Formats: sequence, C-alpha cells, structure tokens
Amino acid sequence: MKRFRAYLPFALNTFQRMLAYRANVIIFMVGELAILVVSFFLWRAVFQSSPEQVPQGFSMQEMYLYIFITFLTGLMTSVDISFDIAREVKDGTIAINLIRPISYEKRMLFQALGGVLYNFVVIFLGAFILVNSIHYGTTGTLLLGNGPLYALSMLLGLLINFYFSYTFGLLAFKVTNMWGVSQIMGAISQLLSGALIPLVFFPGIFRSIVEKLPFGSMIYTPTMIYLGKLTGQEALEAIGFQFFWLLVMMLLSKAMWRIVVKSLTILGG
Amino acid sequence: MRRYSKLYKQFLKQYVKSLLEYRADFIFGLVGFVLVQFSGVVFLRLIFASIPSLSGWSFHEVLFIYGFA
Repeated sequence: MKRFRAYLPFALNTFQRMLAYRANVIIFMVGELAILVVSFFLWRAVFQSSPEQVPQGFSMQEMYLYIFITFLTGLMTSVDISFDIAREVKDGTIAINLIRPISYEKRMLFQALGGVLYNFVVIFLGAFILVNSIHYGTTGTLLLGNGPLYALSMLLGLLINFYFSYTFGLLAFKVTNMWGVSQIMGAISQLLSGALIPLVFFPGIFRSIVEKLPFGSMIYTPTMIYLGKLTGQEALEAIGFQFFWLLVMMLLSKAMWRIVVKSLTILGG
Repeated sequence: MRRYSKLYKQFLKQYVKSLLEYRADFIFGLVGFVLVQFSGVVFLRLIFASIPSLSGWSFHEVLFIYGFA
C-alpha cells in the first residue's frame, strides 16, 4: 500500500485538471453524443429492414442496450496514455521524468486512473442509471445481477487497454511523433473491440479469431457479460481469457520498455 | 488566378513536407489511414451480411456514398 502512496497525487492531479477544464469535457461529450445518436438510428434502420427478428441473437432492445453499454464501457476502459507519453517526448519533460526515482509505468497508470475516476463519477454513474431505467421501462427487466462480473471484467479491460496503449506509446521514444501510430491503433481497436458492431456479426472463422484477440477483451467481453449473453462457465472462461491477455500485455510492455529506453530522441526541452 | 494556383502549389508542398518531417510516423500514418478506411468498409459489409438492403439502399449504393464522403 505504501508503495502506491507516492503515485496517488498523479491520479488526483489528472482528476482535478479534468474538473478544471469543464467546458472541454462538455464539448467532448456533445461530440460523443452525436456519434451515439447516429449509431442508434443506424441500428434502428438495420432492424427495420432486417428479415429476421433477432439477427445473430440480438433483439432490437438488446441492440440498443448494447450500443449504450459499449459506449459507457468504452468510456471507462479506453484509457489512452500514448498521447501523454508522446507529448512528454515532444516537449522534453520526459528527460526529467525518467530521472525521477519513480516507476514511469506506475506513474502513467495512475494518471490514467485519475481520468477513469473522473469519467466514472461525472458521466458513468448517472448515465448508467439512466440507461438501465429506460431499459427497465421498455422491457421490464433489470440486469443488475450481472453487475459484479461486469465490473470485474471492465476493470480487466481497462488494464489491458492501458498496457496496450502504454506499449504503443513507448514507440514515441523512437518515432517522436504519435499521429501515425495512434491512427493505426484507433482503426484496429475500434473495429475489433466491438465498439462499432458486436463481434458475433463477424462471419464464421473470422468471428472465432476476432473473439480470441485482446481487443475484444477491452469492450466487447464486459458488455456481453452485462447483457447476459455470456453467463456461468462461458463468462468465467472469458474473464480467464482477459487475465491471460493482461499478462501478455504486461510482458509485452516490459519488453518494449527494455528495447526503447536505451535510446531516446527528444526534440525540445 | 495563375498566382493563386502557384501559391497553392507552394502551400501544398510545405504541408506535405511538414508531414514528412517525421518519416517513420508518416509511413505509419499512411498505413493507419488505409486501415481506418478499410474498417469502415468492413463495418458496412458486416451489416449488409445480415440484411439485404438498408431502407432501400443496397450495399453497393452505400459504398458509393461512403467513397464520396
């Protein structure tokens, strides 16, 4: 516990910074909301022109819930630390931060957690209750029984995402600019994490490949657990898979660190 | 008019140069751009795999619009 004490201020710092720039957060939310509305109507049109009532086992109500829950889950798990790393490389503060007697990895983790805490308190709690009460109003079912497993799975998704973004972010030590790498990262994780479309919509063999990849663990697995699409044995297996990917990602980030930390290109500072 | 087209050429040159400044990143960016577009097409393909047409729009029609946007 004492080991973490030193890192707590980093989390609080991010939290307070986000509190301070409230207008920025609000504008960001308006943008996200617009995307949410678009995908809501898109799926409604899809369902209206679908010959089957429940394509891939998703009813219309479940699909709506899926859209909102993936959005909220994504909000919690999509920590993008690579930009912070790239910025530090660009303005040179990284030199000082590497000299400091603290672990760079833990510091970044706590910075990310500060942002997650903010999203949780300010957006997630309220929106989650709202979405669930609307769902209750239209279907008369509550899924809160899946809550604990969902929370665990979401936490794992968050950590996997962190290590993924951290590993890629470290590339900034070498390439110095982050525009291209983040472009690649965004494209891959958007499609394969289930944020755009449930992974069950992938055909045959692709589906089984995509479901095994770590990206599904970030958003798709927690959401499916919450929706009750993964229960009992299946849910536990999925969570086991998340643990596996978390371990792999941690090892990868360690390896990446060992490679890049030897030589560092700094542009400013 | 000639002057502006000349100016435009100069500005375009400078812009591409600024992108090329970080060479490795530029190449990553090119790959990333293709991937982003590709994932959009995959998304449409997946939706149209489960429905024949979207309120009267066929896959190829939507793809045409997507290509323009």
